[in-house]
Amino acid sequence: MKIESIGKPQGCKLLRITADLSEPLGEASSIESISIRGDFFAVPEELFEAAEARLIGTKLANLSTVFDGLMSEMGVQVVGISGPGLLSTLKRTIDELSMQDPANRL
Amino acid sequence: MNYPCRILRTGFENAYFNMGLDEAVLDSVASGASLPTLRFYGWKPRAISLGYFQGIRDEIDIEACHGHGVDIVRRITGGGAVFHDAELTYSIVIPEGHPLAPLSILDSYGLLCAGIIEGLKELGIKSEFSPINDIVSGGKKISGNAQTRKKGCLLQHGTVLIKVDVDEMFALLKVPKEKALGKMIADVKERVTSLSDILRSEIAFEDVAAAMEKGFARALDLDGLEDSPTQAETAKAKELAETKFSTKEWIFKR
Repeated sequence: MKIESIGKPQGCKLLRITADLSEPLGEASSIESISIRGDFFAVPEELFEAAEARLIGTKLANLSTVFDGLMSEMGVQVVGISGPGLLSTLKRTIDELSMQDPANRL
Repeated sequence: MNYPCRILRTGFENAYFNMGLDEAVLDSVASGASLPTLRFYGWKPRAISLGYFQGIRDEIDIEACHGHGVDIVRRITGGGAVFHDAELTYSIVIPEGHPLAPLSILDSYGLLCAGIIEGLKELGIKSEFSPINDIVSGGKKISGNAQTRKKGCLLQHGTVLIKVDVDEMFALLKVPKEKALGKMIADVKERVTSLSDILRSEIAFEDVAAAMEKGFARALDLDGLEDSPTQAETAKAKELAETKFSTKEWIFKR
């Protein structure tokens, strides 16, 4: 299922996420594709893009730690974006979807 | 200790050349061919610069930009979209390891933005650094800044708003309501101010540039040397403008 999220979680700049998630939506959903856009900083920029691609296959339950781990492992210095920030932005959208369809509850 | 620094005033250029010259200067400082460099410039025609990670269609009304004669360019730095109209832009390039280039991005924003704050003081304006990368006066944003590190150098560029047409700015930019979160300001349009708003009078681009040059020199202890871009930098800037910054592949990257 394709979802579009926008948010400004605590400690983050504006984040926009477009992601394809396996169904049913929940902590066990896997990321099938993801695009992270926004006002944040990540240096080197090109390595962030490589890390973004490596999020494919990650389960939502692990997104926060996997993202932070990748940034650390790949030596990407980030400001205005974090694993918890990404997860909370996605979760809020999924929660909103679950209001329409309880099967999507995270 | 004064830090030797080249000062460039390159006037008004188009968006693609401006971004090309910032990158060309970075290359030049990185190779050791040029001193650390502080540059002041303007934009003609007016333009919007997008942050590296921003989606163009998320942030900009492309049709409206065409209608208003506003170019669009993507920066090599992160951060948000900026409408370059009546404002002064600066860029500063410093090798990593230099005392003015702390390793931490957050620390270096605080250090380098002191130049703008001192420059505003020259104009009689009180302002303060608002982390991560803004400067505010009276609680409203007057300067935005963006930074990257490449080839062993830090590049930071940013703007000082001289005059702002908020309605036009927000006709060109798609600013979501989430942007105002945490700013204690309900309406995103209320977030920005300008030198003209604060001083209640017009101020010339050259006067702002002169004030900022003094501010950077004082805050960063610079020993400035007025200069012009080298022939190699200008040639590289033109090449980058043509082969990178004006291309659809780059501008529509995200």
